[in-house]
Amino acid sequence: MLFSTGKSFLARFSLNISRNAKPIGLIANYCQVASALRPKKAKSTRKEAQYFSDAKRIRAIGGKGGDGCVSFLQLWCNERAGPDGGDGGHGGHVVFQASNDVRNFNHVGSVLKAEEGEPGSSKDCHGKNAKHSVIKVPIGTVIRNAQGQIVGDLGQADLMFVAARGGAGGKGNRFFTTDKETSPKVSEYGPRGEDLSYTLELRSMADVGLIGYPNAGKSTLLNALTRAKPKVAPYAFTTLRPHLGTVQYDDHVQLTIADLPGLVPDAHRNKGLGIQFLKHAERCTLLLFVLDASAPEPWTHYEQLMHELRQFGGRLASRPQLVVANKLDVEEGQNNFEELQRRLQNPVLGISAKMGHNLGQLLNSIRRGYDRHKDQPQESS
Amino acid sequence: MLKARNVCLLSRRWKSGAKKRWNVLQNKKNNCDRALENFDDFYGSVYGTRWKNMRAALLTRHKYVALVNNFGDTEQTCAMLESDGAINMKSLINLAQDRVKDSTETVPEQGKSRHEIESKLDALLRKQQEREVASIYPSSPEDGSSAPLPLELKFDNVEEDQPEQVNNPFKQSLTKALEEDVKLDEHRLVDPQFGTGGLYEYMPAHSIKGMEDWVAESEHYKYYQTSADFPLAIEPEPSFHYPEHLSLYTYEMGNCSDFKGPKKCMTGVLSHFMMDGASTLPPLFLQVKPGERVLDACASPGGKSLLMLQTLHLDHLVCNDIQESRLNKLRKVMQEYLFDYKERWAGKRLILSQSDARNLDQYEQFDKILVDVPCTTDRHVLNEQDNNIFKPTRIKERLRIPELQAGILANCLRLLRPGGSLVYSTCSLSPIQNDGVVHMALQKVFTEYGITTTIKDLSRHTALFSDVFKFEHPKGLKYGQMVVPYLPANFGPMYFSKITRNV
Repeated sequence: MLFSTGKSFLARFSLNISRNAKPIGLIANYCQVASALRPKKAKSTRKEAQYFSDAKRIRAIGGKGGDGCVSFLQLWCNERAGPDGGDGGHGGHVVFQASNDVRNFNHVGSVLKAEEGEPGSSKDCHGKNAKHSVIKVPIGTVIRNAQGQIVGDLGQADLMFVAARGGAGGKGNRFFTTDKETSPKVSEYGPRGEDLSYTLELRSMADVGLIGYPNAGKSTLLNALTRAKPKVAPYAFTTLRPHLGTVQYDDHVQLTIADLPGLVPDAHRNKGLGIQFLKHAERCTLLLFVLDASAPEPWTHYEQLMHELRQFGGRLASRPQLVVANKLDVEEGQNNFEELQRRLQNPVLGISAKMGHNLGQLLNSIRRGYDRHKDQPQESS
Repeated sequence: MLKARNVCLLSRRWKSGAKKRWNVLQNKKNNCDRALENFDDFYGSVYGTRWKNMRAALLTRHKYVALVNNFGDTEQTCAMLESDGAINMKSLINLAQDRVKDSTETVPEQGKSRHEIESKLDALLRKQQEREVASIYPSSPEDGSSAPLPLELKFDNVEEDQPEQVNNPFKQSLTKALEEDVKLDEHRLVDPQFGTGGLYEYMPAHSIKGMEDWVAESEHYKYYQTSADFPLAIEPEPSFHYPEHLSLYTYEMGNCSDFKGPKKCMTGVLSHFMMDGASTLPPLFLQVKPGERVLDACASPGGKSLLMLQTLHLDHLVCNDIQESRLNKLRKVMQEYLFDYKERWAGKRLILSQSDARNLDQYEQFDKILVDVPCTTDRHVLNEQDNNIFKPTRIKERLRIPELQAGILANCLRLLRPGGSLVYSTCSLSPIQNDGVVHMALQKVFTEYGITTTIKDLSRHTALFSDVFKFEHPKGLKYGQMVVPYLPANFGPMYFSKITRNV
């Protein structure tokens, strides 16, 4: 009876929670902190995982300018009416514009090419200027060039960065007419646009970042807390790209939680895509350490993770933190939990993401940590 | 109706004879005028106030040197020349050597003011480029907007590949990079609140369509490069020996008398050969010794080859030239001055070869090489209309002559045996054809074939000839020495540089 299928057990357990805790919850909500609301909608039925792109390497190519025209006008009454070649049109720029409409770089392609200007034609007709290729990026995007230097910081709405300039239109032979040379046969070729490489980086990605060793249960935790659907599998590095989920509280505050790929020892030396994964952690405000309590010595995992954060960047280790011991439904997890609480200075919360144990307490702790960080003056970024 | 009227107009215009109008004839420029105009602009910038004296000397009659034929009546010819007042150059050199032994002079260091030549040529290049841009682009357009003109024109639509940027993987965190590596590009950031002017900046056009066969004059001035990215050593020449049997007669400085014409000797050859005095210096400084194989890469008309033969040190000489008519002229000179040309010299000790000097393939076989490359021949183009390189149809050939010269010199350096010597000479005052070509050739043989060379400094030995010639100050030259035109001693111009191939 107690050990029937997981679904029914979970349903009965949640029902028990709601029935027993309802009067106490009402009193607690009124005088303590906001409670996390359950999502009203069911999980999405889409098969593929929707990852979050917070850094992108692009190549921007400006449009070529149109060529100038060599032409001489012939009329009915004046068969040698002089030069009338038109100028070419300008090529388009590649422009990044900061906007609130987008949140990540999923929509930005790897090669961004602007349109070419049209060439000039006879009867002094200038070529058509090409439209600029405007790509919307989130507010707070930092643009690096190929040498790694920061050349753009789109920190406010509608700020634009011209990534690649287009070529100017070439002049037709009408432009080259002088008093001495009344019939020039020269014109200009339209030059090619700039061809440059950039790296777009997002300054801020999520409010909470789940940091831990590979196979510690971070994706399972995100799956349990939010409606996001990261891939869950019992092998290391199941997650290679960050996934985001949103938790809504009853005072209309939404917090985003990012499931980050796992960090291994020597990640700051780019072992196991470590640099890339540490950059994901840098874009989160609150760091939630997910420790595998069923591992042999989970307290050494915490020390190793702190070492990686310190080696990567000076300020990353001073972010507000929460420590969570996962997999308490296993017997080894429960045995290690007392030792873990004794060794770490920070308070450790024991949960089971798979079974759903103690998740309400976790959401309350997240909200409390976020509010405490919000009340402090903004020191970093 | 209109076309018939045009025909009438044309016939009337032809009838009047427009090509013979007085203003057309008055303003007509011939080849010498074009050459003089070019030299006034170019050499006036390079040589400054000294160009006026050189100009006067170039336009005045040439001064000659008589080379006595050792295969004829040597004693009688020498006696005749001395009775006319000529002086043997050997005695002048002996006097100069005695004077040098008494007082040891310090030769001024070379290359001290080399930057003056570089800055002058850079200024000349920039001025020439501005002139070319101004000749094509209209000035002060009708709308009054003065668009910035391109600094340099291109006449082909070959798109240069942009150099690939260095993709160094940056491993710093974002917060650390925001503190250290921020170099915001203000020209690319556009804030709509303060205007969208940054969106109207485009890449400028600089390629001209329709003038693909037009050769820019500024390309000629780019041949002078000074970045030495090959091992370069300049050493003084240790010794100089005037040949014992050579007799060169000249008048003293300021004397512009003429020599008598050559006469036939008892052996049937002519008594002496008239040549430019400065042309004797490259064969003399080549220092040919008995038993050496010698190549004269551009031999015609044969004065330098004949001088080397007159030293009586030569066992094997190869004379090369590109055209058969020039080789025929050389052969005629040899027949006139060597009485046993057909029996002993032709095909055995004197070999005539007709080929391009850039295509000679007898690599590392010659001990001494004399390279008298084709050049602008400054004195000839100012005085003669025929065979003038400043003809309008030969502009491309003239502007690209440093490439030809560098190709010939580079190939001759490959023909040289390791340890052998080469003398490069031109009849031009242009630094581009003199030091510029030597630099190009040395760089080419080092980068392509790994050949290293040593420049021999001849300044100490050219001082021996200062009673006869006027030399350019060593400060203005980098790799060689130059005889400049001078009214009392109207020889030259002749630039020569001695290069030794390292082992």
